[in-house]
Amino acid sequence: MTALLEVEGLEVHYGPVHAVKGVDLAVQEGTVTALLGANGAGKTTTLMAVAGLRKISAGDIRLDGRSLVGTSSESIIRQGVGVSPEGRRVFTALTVAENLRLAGAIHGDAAISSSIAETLMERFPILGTRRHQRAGLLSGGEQQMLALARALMGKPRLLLLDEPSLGLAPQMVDRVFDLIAELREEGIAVLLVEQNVPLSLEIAQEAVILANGRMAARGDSEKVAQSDVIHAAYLT
Amino acid sequence: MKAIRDVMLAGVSLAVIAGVSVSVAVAEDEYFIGVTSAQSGYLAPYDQPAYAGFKFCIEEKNAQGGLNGKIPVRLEVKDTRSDTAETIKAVQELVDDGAQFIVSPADADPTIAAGQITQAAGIPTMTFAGTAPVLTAVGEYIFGSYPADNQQATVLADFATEKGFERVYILKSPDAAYTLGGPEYFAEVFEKNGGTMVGESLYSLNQPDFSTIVTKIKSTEPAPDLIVTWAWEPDFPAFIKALRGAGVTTQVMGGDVLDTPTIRGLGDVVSGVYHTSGGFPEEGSDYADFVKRYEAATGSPPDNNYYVNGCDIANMIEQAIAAAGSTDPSDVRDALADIKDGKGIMSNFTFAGTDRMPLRPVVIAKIEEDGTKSFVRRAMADPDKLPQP
Amino acid sequence: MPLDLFIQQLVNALSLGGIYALLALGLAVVFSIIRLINFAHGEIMTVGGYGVFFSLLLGWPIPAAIIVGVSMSIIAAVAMERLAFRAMKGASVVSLLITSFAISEILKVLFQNGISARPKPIALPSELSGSYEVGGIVIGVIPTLSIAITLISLTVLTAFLRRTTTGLAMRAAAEDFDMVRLLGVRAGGVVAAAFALSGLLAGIAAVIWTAQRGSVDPLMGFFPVLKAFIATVLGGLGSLSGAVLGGFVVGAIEVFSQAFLPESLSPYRDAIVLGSVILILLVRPEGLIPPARVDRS
Repeated sequence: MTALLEVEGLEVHYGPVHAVKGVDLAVQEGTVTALLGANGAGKTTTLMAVAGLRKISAGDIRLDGRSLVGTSSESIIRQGVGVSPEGRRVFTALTVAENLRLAGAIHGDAAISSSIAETLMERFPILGTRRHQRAGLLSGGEQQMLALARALMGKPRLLLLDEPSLGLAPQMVDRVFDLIAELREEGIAVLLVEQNVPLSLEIAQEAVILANGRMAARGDSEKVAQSDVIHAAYLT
Repeated sequence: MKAIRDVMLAGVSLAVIAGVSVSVAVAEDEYFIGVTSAQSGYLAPYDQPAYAGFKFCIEEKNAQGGLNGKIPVRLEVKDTRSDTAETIKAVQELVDDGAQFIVSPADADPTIAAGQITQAAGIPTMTFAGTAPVLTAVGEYIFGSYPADNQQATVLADFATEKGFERVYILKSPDAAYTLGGPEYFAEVFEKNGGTMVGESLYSLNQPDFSTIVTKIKSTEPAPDLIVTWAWEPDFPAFIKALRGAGVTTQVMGGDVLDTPTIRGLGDVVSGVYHTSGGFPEEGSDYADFVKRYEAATGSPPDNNYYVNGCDIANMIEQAIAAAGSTDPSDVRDALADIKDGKGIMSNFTFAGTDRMPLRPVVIAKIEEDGTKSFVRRAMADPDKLPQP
Repeated sequence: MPLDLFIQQLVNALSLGGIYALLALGLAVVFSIIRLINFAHGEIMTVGGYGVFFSLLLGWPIPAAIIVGVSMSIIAAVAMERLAFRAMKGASVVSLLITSFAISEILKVLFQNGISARPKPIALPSELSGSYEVGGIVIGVIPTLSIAITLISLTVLTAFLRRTTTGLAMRAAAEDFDMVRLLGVRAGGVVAAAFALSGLLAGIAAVIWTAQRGSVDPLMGFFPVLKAFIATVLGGLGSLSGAVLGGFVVGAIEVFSQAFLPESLSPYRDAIVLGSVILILLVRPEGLIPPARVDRS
């Protein structure tokens, strides 16, 4: 069966830098694929290429078997992709509610958008209580919740999450991973870029390890967890 | 990028068409006049019509065999973009090319810059319409063509005094010799006539807002019964709008720059304004005939005096060459400086006995309610009162 | 200084500052989103002025002339984005700035040679040129209308930026354009909307400006936009509320320096304005209200 997302032989150049060198990965519906590796290994670049924000120099990216190469970011998102990028990137000058409302504009119907927002604020009660506050005033963990909620506003089939646990208190980290597990159970496919290797491998069905832009390992997450590649990848 | 490049190319070709120099092979018996004229920038409103009128009359004369029927004129015109540095470059090139006469832009400042070159080269130079009498101070090769500011101001001040005005408020700008000099000459003569200056304000060219100055005028004690300014467009429209908008109905008088369809098109606010002018195309006059000829030839009416004054520059050059009996630059200069009561179309001109700013009659006109102008009087400035630059 | 004189000068300051604020806001809206300091903004304003002029020339009623003028400015701004700036997506701030200079120069030459180098008169009916009296203070109708129109425009714009999706997208894009695209919002639409909005503001400014000044000429937009640019820097480049505040501050410095300083200092007015701006920036280098912005390489 075809995976929801397939990446094949992906090459990305960043000016003179060859950032991603022949990466393959796949995300099946209702599963989590973890994309792991040291800083600068090419994880975020791969994720941004999938989101259409990085131009790729070779390879293919397919959603539902249809190539996304040359498709604008906006159109990719509109095909059912939600992104919570590195650094969260919430709009600090907008209120919590406005951040969600903007993300809901994709539905072209204010009523649908606001009902999704209400549901999400029940799921993330802290966002509900701070809905009229500027996002810039939220704590790091709260901003992460907002970034996740915002990515969910479009009712995505595929979530691209980049370092959702970075810089969070341990309690919050658990909360984030619980949430990813819940989303997976709801049938949402997740491509997860993470620093927290143990938790990621625990939650993921499949894992890809990158080192210096190349694939160091790929496969069933349990097998990857047991291989030495994982240690090598983080030590180099 | 391509779209931008195409637009830019279009712009460049346009500039080339506008400022193109019409060079023909040099012939021995031609008289070579170099012209600098701004096709863009702040001087374009004056240089463009002045050059159009000048060219029209040179072409008329060339069709008759040239100046005095025998010396064909070759014109080379360079665009200065109202930029003084560009003017200097253009004049230098024209002098290097062998120009025997230079016509410089319609303002004192670039003319003075041009004069630095032509005075040294011994090439007679005449401004299109610069009226600040200081411009001829560069040297004996530099000439004005239009009635100077001090002549205009003297005639206007005498008129104001006769009309019974006693307290004047002056609005002037130090940014240009014209906008500063005119009102100052006016005040000098007006005070000699027994009037008083009750206040003055300085503005900058292209000042965004005149309401501040208007508020000051309103609070001036004793209240002025007359406001005089040599402000031009777009400053004068902005000022008069602000003035009338604030409910001030005091009489306003101004310089010859107000003699334009734009000013007359401003509606109620300019109704009743008096201004000086270089001439008036009364029915049956040479000027009226020029208007008809020009309109017939070009399809558009010469709607300000710069056209006819441009034409008179051609007449001045022609008469100087006739009197000199040669086209030698220094002979032409001497003859030009000696002209007494030369025959012009806008008006006659006398250079003899002046600092090369011609003595010409000054017209006073009034803007009527319907946006037309009416003739009020024509007078020569009283030489005894004429303020010195 | 007597109170009534002060109030009159205050009206003048608000009326002038309001125009600068509208123009500065237009500059800031575009800058905040695509990092373009659009020096051709002045020509967008000039187009609006000519729109009013030609409509009146055709004998159309004043409301029609105003609508035509404002619409022409919007069209000019959107066309500028389509024809010139869209092709330069991703270009550096400097390339964009220089392109906008080129467009500004080309348009000025086109106005001078295609319409007229001379100013064209705009005559308004005398009711609009009049004045009224409140408690012994005479105030002009046009400055009052200017202030009212400015305030209404700013209020409507604030509502637009807060309430509508496009407004939200514009505010968000000012902070992080790529993130807006990652929410599925069409980038081209946001940029086009920003230009249309800047054109609308320039058009409103053009109507007020021509009503106050009575003429439109090829260079009309250049000087006010220069002041508006100073206002945006003063307010904090890219900050919308900063641009509005900056506009009013520049207008106030300009009016009050002429009103209250000795006449002999008048010629130095622009120097005084710029000097004050430099002083303020020394104390607040980011501007009066710095923009919220995440800069990503």
